[in-house]
Amino acid sequence: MSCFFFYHQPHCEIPHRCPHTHYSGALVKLTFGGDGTYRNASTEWEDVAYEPATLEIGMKEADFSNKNLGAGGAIIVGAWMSHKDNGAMTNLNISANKLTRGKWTNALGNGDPNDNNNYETDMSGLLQMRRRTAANTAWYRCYCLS
Amino acid sequence: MSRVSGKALADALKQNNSLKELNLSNNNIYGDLDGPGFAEEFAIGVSDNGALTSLNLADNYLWAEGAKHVAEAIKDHVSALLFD
Repeated sequence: MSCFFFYHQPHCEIPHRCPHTHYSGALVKLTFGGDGTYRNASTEWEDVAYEPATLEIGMKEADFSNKNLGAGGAIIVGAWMSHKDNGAMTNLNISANKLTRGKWTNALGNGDPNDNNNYETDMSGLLQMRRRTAANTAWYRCYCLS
Repeated sequence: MSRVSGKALADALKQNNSLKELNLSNNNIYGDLDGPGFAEEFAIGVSDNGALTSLNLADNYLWAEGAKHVAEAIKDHVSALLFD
């Protein structure tokens, strides 16, 4: 048998990933984030670049903790979970990412990129992620704190 | 990166059916300057391209505004599947 259609079409009654499928001509991997640096106590407070995050279709677990993803990262993760994941992801750790951190304002005038007061508060990413992940019935565990 | 460069890249993507991987990491797509303009145009190109499977936008400070355009590209670039 060989047929071609979108996974989420209603006539496919398989609740999760069909074992006999492969993807054709579509984005299956997206890397984002990795913005900025942080001071690492274990390396004598040396500035260390944040690692980017990579989303791939079919991922069951993802550890995106401490990647400085901010509000933009939450928006991208939410969109991916809604339109690409198809219920595959069961464990997502997106803690310690300042998901409500918005644009840089330097409100304190000290130029410190590690001070939250130098950024706008932006709830849009977190709200979008909440809306879009609500439809994912496969969730087992999600860490979204801080 | 500006809206103009985003449009140029989008036009190239629309006409290209062989590029599978694209790495745009560390290219100063700052979301609070002209980054949203770049992201908006570029996202249209990604949506219209049927071949791209891997995209790297790391280290570009997309912020929320730029990320929203990337999210739209994800939404439109629906995963087509082959069922064997």
